[in-house]
Amino acid sequence: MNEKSYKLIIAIVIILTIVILIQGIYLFNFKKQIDDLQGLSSRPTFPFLSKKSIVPRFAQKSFNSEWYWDDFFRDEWDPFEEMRQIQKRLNKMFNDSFGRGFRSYGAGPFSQKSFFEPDVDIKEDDNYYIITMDIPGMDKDKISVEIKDKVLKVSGERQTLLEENKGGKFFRKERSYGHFSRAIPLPNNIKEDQISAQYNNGVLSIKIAKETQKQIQPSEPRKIQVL
Amino acid sequence: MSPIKQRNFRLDYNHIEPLVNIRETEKEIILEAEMTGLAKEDIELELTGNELTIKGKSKQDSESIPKGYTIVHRERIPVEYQRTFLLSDDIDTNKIQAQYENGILRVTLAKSDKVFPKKIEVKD
Repeated sequence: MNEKSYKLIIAIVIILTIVILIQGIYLFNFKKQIDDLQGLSSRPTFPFLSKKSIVPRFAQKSFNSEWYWDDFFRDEWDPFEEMRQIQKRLNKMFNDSFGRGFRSYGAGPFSQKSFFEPDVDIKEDDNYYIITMDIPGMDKDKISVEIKDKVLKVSGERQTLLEENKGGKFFRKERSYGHFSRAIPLPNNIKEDQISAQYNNGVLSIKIAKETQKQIQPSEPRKIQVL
Repeated sequence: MSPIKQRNFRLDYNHIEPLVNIRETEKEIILEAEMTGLAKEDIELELTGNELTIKGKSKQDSESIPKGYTIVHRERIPVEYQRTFLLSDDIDTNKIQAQYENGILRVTLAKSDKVFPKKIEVKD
């Protein structure tokens, strides 16, 4: 390769960097504009950039930092939330592939705390929401599912088999143990008293009834007489 | 030296190696593999020579999503589990037992008799 093509590559890299920077600034402003339109600042932004006071996102609901929150049912699209999700997925991927052999008690090289996060699926039809979670190797009695103020909280503790393993030793320990928790804020159209949970083959599935909305009859056009 | 070694070879990208714990008790070696949400019938164990392969296939989308339901959010992906282990001679391959419970496949491998010290009677 000659010197000319090197220069070309460097130029392209510089241009790309500038484009990404501009895009970042644009997105940031865009987000601020949306917040201003909605009359809320949903997330603490950098103080030197935001003029508004900082309002926590879950002001009405009691927020506990120990709970791992996922707001799957939010209405507005939030580019920052999206980025966080991607970040989370990447972290998970790294932990899954590089954490092998390193991790004991759920602490991979990229995770700070000794807990694990079960994977969650959410499905819906007209009458029900179904939330499924992968929690292999649990005792049915040690899973706690609670609902309060339209927030579903699932938590539990996966224990090691230390008792059973007296005098023995581990050759390989890849599975993670410890505490897990997930809190899922649910939409308002659920019936809090109609919830059932099942634990089968390591999969916890929670069925929540929806408030069936009365179909609004399409009204006939009404003629108004001109007097 | 571990009596079980992992056999390494390339897997297809939709194959996942299940996470395992291998521990030793007095008479057995217990292998526990995390294979979530399978039916008992979908799990296969194969022993060729001293290579033990565990396989399992989770339900595909069309089966796992009930009719009429749409997905709101998804993190769980249908996968095929597969992993092969090399067993040492200390394991009695005739006495392998497997059990599936709560998403964990537990394979119990009995140590062969020659591992244990044998008492030899002294004759007159």
